[in-house]
Amino acid sequence: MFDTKFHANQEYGVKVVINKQDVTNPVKFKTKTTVSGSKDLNPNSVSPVLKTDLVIQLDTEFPYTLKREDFSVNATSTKDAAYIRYLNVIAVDDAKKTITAKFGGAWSGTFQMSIRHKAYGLVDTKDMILDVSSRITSISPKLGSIYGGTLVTITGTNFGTKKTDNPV
Amino acid sequence: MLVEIGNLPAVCHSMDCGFKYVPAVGEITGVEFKADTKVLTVTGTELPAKLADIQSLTFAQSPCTVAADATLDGKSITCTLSRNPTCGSWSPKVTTAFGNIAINAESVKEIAVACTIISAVPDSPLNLLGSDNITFTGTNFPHEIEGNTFELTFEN
Repeated sequence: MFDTKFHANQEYGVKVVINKQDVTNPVKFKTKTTVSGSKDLNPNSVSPVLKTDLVIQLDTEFPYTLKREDFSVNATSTKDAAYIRYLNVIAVDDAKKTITAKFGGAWSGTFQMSIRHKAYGLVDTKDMILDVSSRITSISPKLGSIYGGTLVTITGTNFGTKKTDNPV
Repeated sequence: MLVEIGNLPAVCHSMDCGFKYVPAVGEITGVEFKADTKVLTVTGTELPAKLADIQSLTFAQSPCTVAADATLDGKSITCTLSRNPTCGSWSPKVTTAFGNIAINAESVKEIAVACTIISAVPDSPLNLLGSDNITFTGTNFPHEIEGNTFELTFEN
């Protein structure tokens, strides 16, 4: 069962109107029996300001040999459908059926991932949500000398791995 | 006539920039189109009597060419479409140096040009979530996207 008006393995006709004129046609379409999905997004939470490589795991049964140029990946804000971030696909691994896409930053929020394959069409990405946020969860110690010299530890999520990524 | 360039009024140096509307010359009172030969015949009154007087003649989004040796009598023009017509309902458009020739709406009805779809590739299996690129092959499809309308509805 998919969240679409089409049903699996069913035949559909098409009504075509060009310049307000009905076009007679004998064309019948048949839908797939199933839709290939994506199983995992790693990481699924990233910093809004740091470039991050996202690894997307496709179904191992995905029916095409993976080629980088065949995929397009984007992330659409769940709050504003007009805010879309397009990601460059930088690598694929056909043996593992994974795609690696470069996330280049976005406003904080949650984003619905979308994957399209040139020949296959859309890959099912239902529930594949990317969390774009940085959070400070604690500061320790919370007291320090007015003359300085206190080493403060800031704990949180989605900080950069380089010192220069995290100016305080 | 007032001319503005970049929202600024332009000066008419010769002080002779008037534009005069004149009564339309000629009227199209009949149209016949033969789809098999792509020949269009326009009949009417005071139509261009010389080939040079016809600036353009189009029908169904296709230019229509009048033979260089054609004899024009001011009552009819016969031309051949230089490419396939586009489906839809159309009237011819004949333009002279004085603009478009009027069409008698009572005697000239738009001519319907049909189009057909022969095949669609791929037709199976289509992705349930969409985003398949489907190529339709057929006849009398529009030559450009702009200026045409397309509606496709899947139904079972």
